Amino acid sequence: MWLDKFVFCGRSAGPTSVYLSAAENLANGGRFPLGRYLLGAAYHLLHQVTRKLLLGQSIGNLGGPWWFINMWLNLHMHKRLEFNIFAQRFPRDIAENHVLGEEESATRPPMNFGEAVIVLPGTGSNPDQFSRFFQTLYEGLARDERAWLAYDDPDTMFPLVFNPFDEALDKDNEVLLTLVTPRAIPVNFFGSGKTSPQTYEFYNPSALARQLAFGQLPIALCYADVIKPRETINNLLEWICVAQLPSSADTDINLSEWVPGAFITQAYKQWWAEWKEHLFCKSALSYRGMIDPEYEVPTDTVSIFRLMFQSSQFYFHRQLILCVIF
Amino acid sequence: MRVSNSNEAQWGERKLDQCIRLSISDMHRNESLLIAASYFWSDTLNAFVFGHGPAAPTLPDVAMLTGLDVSSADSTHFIDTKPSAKVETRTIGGWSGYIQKYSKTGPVNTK
Repeated sequence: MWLDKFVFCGRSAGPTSVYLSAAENLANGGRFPLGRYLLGAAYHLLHQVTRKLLLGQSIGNLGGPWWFINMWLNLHMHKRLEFNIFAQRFPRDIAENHVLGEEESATRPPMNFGEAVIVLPGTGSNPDQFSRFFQTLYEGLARDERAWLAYDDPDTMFPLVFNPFDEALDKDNEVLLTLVTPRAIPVNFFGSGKTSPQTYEFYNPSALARQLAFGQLPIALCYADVIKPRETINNLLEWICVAQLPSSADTDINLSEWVPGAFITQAYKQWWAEWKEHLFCKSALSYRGMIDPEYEVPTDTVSIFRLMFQSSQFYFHRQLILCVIF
Repeated sequence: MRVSNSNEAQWGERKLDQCIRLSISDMHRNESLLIAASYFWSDTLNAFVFGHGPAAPTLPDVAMLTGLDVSSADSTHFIDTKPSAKVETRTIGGWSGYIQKYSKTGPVNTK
């Protein structure tokens, strides 16, 4: 029930037995990569939201781990939001009969990055804030506000699982390969229905190289010519075929000899400059106007983008990507 | 607190302890940010295509933010797997009814 209500946030308002198999497995000491299932659910939720936005439908109650996406966005935006993740304090677990000493603090620092970013204040669906966030993401974060390597912890306050500059991780070829290898990740495998068939999402680290402390090259989609995205999986054999599809990554690489370094290549810069020209062809103000018709445009803001295309930006975006791939 | 003290070691072995702690935290949803970011999600890349470049949650993000296992081999798959236990969920009266029916008293390590 914890998996249902708190981790995967199912659509149902009450309990379901969808996650019972996984719960039994965990209770019996089984080991499986629950984190991959969570990431698959997060990607699929964003896919469903995007479809609704594209069709102009209300998003409604889709169910899914919005909390994890929110945490990640908090982390990605924390410099922009001027939030110091190391300065937070939490109440300590203190036994009822324990009396605090004079120099003993009733609070403690966060224990990990997750706890540190969870405390950012939330907002409701506020049109003005929405349009500010939209414009920020549309125009891009300033160079000093970007958190590509978000887990930079110079004083080692938190236990680190992923530190690309940690020699121990560098030597653990197997773990590092798991993190940087493209793969299909499962969706709805714990329980499916007519509206939520068992399917998969692709994990594309080649689009996210800077977050993994590698240089960013033009993006290569490993499965683009191999298999369609989000096909329904009907049985175990089908899933094993999909899960074992070889990507273009060469698994014989010895990653311990690689030197992490966040940089981008000239080829990527040129590629992105061209893509951006097409992707961001419409002023964010048009969306702000849709959300808040009474909003008055300040005279000292907003760069003017060319209004090249009358069709939906996102429809065009999708078409462009398909053109590039095929 | 009693359950946590009793089961923390087991949760740690299964890499669930950090995520369980998160789930009892009071997190506030930043709905404006979530909706604004959703407009930038690319179905093809499975990444947000922001003005400063593509970005998305990754497996290291899952491990760092939630502590969940991302690297074990997946031999279970859960397709065609039926649970051995049965719990009543449909006519039980929502979460409160479920808690009433299945809550027990006594030591937390007794099944």
